[in-house]
Amino acid sequence: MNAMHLPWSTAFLQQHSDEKVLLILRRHWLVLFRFICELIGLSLLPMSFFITWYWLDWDIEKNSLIYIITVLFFSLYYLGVWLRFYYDWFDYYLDVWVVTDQRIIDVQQKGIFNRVVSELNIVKIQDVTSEVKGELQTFLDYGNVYVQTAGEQRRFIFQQVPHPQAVAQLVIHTNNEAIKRHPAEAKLE
Amino acid sequence: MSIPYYIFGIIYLVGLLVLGFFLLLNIYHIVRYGFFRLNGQLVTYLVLGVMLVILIATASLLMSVDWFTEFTIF
Repeated sequence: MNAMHLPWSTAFLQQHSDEKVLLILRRHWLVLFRFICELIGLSLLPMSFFITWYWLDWDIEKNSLIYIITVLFFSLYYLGVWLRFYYDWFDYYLDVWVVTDQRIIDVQQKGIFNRVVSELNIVKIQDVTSEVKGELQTFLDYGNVYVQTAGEQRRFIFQQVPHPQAVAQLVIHTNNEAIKRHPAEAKLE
Repeated sequence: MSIPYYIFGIIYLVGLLVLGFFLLLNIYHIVRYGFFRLNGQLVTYLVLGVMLVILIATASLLMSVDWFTEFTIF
């Protein structure tokens, strides 16, 4: 399983002293691959302009206005393209789901200024469903995992995570273990 | 009416400031939320490196420009 243990104290987690992190999940690498394809596509797009320039054999003086505007425009364009890639990667990298032996934490970065951290007591889980839809998800083994609670809390969705069935099994197993440790807490629901 | 070339340089610098602001915000988030580890550092340095190359290329392409030359609109 594509899991990582937390070797450091993260600001979002506030890990309890007796809490063990079992899994940290991010979306599948294919999501990141899409961003890389976008970066390459947007980087190659101005090439059509340069090729046209070359074919038409435009002779532009280096101190002309058109030359200055072209250079400044494409400079800002490429800086913007790379900043966009950095933002997409940052959005991918900062969205995480953490499964511990006590809770599930959902950290979502929504834009630059909006960050949502929600958590769910592992004992309160009632239903865990994994979903793999379509050829690509089946072939690359990624999909969604839905975690439903008994109470009024909204369900958690691990979106486009690798190995969804194994993740669902781990959550169910952790839930069963937690219920064994805290039967009274589980009965409250 | 004539406008000197450096006006375009100033517009470019304003654009750079806006991009720089968002870049710093992204870096701040990565560091603030504890993700500035190996992957975070690699991608951040890669992006900063490429941006630096773009800026150097821009500067070298425009090195010979006389920014005080004026062009007439009407």
